[in-house]
Amino acid sequence: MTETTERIASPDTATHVVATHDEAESVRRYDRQRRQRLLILLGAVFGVLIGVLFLVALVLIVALGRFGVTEIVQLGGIALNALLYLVVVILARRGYVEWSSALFAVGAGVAPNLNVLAATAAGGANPFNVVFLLGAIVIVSLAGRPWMVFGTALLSSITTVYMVMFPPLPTATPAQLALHDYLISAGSANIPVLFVVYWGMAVLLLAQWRSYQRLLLELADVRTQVERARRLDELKDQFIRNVNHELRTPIMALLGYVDLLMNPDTRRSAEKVERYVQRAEHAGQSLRALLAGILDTRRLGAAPGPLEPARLDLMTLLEDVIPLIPGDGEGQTPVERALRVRMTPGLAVWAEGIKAQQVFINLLGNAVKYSEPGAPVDIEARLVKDDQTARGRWFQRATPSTAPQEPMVEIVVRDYGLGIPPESQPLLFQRFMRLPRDLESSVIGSGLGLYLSRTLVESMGGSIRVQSSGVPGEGSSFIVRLPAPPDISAQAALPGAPDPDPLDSSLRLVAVHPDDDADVRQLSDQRS
Amino acid sequence: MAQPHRTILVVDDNPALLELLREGLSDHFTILLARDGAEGFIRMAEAPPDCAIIDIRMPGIDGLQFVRTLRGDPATMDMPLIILTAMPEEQGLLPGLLSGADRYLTKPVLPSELIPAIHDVIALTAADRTRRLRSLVEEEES
Repeated sequence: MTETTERIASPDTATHVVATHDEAESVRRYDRQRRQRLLILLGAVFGVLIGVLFLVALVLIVALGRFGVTEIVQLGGIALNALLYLVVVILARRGYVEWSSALFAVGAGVAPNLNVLAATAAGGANPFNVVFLLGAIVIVSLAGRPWMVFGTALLSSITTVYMVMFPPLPTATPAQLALHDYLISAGSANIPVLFVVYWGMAVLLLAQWRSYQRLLLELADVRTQVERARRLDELKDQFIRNVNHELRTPIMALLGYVDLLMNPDTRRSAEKVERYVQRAEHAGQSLRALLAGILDTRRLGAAPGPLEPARLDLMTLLEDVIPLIPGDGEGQTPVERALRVRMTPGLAVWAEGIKAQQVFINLLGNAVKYSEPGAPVDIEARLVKDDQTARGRWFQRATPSTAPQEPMVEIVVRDYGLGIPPESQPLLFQRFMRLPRDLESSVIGSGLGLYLSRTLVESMGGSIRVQSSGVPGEGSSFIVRLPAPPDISAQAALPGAPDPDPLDSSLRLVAVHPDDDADVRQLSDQRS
Repeated sequence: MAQPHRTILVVDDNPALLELLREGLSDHFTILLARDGAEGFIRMAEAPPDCAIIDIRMPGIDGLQFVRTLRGDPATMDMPLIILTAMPEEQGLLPGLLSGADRYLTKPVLPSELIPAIHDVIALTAADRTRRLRSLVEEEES
């Protein structure tokens, strides 16, 4: 199943915008690109600097004519470090951001420490070397992860202690012997100071990193909002084009029949007059229904009314809804469909009658509209605990639902139609959304039905989502959750547990084409 | 009526409009109906009409494709064709006429307006059609 929404949370778990899967993906992509650019830049800068350092050291060593083991170790260390940064740049450019950042941390944090350790062991250490260790902590904080900063601080602390504990060998040069004396006399006193500097710097850099991350997340929120506004604007344009298109057809039918009625030839036939008046009236009704749909959603957007829920028996609700489902419209003959219902007898929801009816009119209407005439529609309902939590990756920490686990009734409306392509699912419940496929077809719609359903379900404390593979014939399942009546104990609802006593019922939905005079849909109840 | 009874094919995916056009035009013409492009081609093969009225937005083969196919076939390249669509002129007029249609009419169109339009396009000669298309292409290029 495709998760339709994800939460983008800041490091301190404060929840920001609830983003769709695509939006979260675009934020991830943005963050990745940012780190990639940073790694390429830092890798190149440090690679060049250390390369220059290598050359300077080489020139000095050659000029002074001091080519010993110590010098080779130091030169080798520097060269290795420069090489590491080169690999960092190559990996980042090829898109291996994680590997590149890990190698960067090795290059920036581990290599200088190893270098200093090796120099100490070889007798070439210098108090000035601690500058490299401080630099390592700063550099790792730029492109590494927070734990890497502390790791580098720890490594630097160990290296410093090693420098003091294992001073240069007695066979060293006079300068090294001087260092030996210095380290023995002052080193121990300086260790606490260096520790405070290392760890203080690590903490400061981490704080800086956190505030930077928060800023990035806020920016990501803004990007998401802007992207949504842009998308909404596009959908609105599409909606206007769509409504324009949908309105023209019933207007043409209405005016066309009026035009025919004005023809003196027509008036001579009472039967024709009767038929044309009926069809003009039908076209007028289609227009009114189209307008009512648009106005309803505008009202919903303006001010939701106070909620007045009541106990609604699900089977009664379905029986009330079935006669109101718009007909198949395609064929001229009645189209019969099996509506297979599976639920515990007496299962009820805590909702508002009119709103719940509207939701199921929309869902069942869509099931009829978007599947072959005669294809069955399934409804399954059961009691569940509301255990939905947002799952996500690093910046979408799981935020467990803070509300107590209320018993909910889950109602699945499943059709066997064309299904909904996964890429269209995140936007499915947005206002004005219509699938490109439907825009091409003759299926009339305003792109408001599912938006209306979502708004209504959410106003009653419920949720709605869709599951569909997008494969024609496999259809789609719309999963509605509505609160269970307050007298149902939470213990009764075990997530995933099979219904204690489900009953299969079969309702028959007979949709008659409106032209066939009878605007009657029959419902015959054949409960088994 | 002095002129012979002409046959008109209407291709539209909306049953209500097909019904309206059948009611509105059948006193003047013999009407054939098709629900989409594929059905349109079948009707066309069964009995070539004197004129076809075609919607643009249809499932499967759309109206523009339908018109282009007819214009590419020597048997139907001079057939009078009218596009009748809900697509506003600013979106569909130019592609519609460039595809080879003789007329682009935007819904809603009354049956009483459609009848003279059908007679007009039937009266068009092959030379008229070529001249019109050429001037349209020149206009588009300039």
